Amino acid sequence: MTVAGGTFGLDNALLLDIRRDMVRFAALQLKDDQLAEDVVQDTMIAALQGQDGFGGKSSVKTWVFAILRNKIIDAIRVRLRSVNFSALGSEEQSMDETFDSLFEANGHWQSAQRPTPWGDPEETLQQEQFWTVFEVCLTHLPENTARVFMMREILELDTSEVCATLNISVSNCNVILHRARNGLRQCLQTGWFGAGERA
Amino acid sequence: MTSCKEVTRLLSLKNDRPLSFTEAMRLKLHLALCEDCTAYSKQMDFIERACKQFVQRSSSDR
Repeated sequence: MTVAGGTFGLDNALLLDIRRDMVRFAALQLKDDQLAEDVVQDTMIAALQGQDGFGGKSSVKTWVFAILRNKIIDAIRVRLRSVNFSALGSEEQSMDETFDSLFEANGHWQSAQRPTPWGDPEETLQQEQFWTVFEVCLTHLPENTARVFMMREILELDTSEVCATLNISVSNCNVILHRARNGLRQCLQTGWFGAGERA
Repeated sequence: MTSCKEVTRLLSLKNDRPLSFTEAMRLKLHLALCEDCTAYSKQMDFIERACKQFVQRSSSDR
């Protein structure tokens, strides 16, 4: 899609950069490249139409991403009404088994699985390579688990909104979020923080 | 006695709704006595923080 030069005071190259980042973000949330393209297209149109509403208080990208977020949420609402989030797939079962294996029968951490320090958060978060691993770990979550988690943590909806949109009970929602967080933790431990030093 | 495994559940829950007084006390007491779960809770805090920053990074200029 070509846009008139000078839109939002940005040149085409910059707008294409933003567009590319939007597609990437939408694809991560929707797990459907074509749908992501469609949603981004709709977002671009809405942004151009609503140009006058852009007050310049944030960057163009942030403003457009706010529109994108809402369009992604709408797409999820429409497309995912009939998915059964309560069903425990084999991937989810496997995650639960992995998590259970970290503990002894009495609920204490297994000696070899005791959580290790992950060091200075700021230092980690400043490393580009960390973000590559982080994004990979997000994509590694099983689809239904990822969907719930990302609606909560990336699209930043309240838990009640997530449950209502996906038609899951609050308690099931909590279970899935717990599963997702541990899955992410496992992936980051393996993929970034490594074996670690234990006191 | 609240087990470490139960504590991980409470730590996750804490992100999504306010804990009840009992839940909060159980958690606090356990963390005061368990350095493993304290380490785990810091890991969870990190994940929360990373998610927030991921959103900001995605939607901001490089």
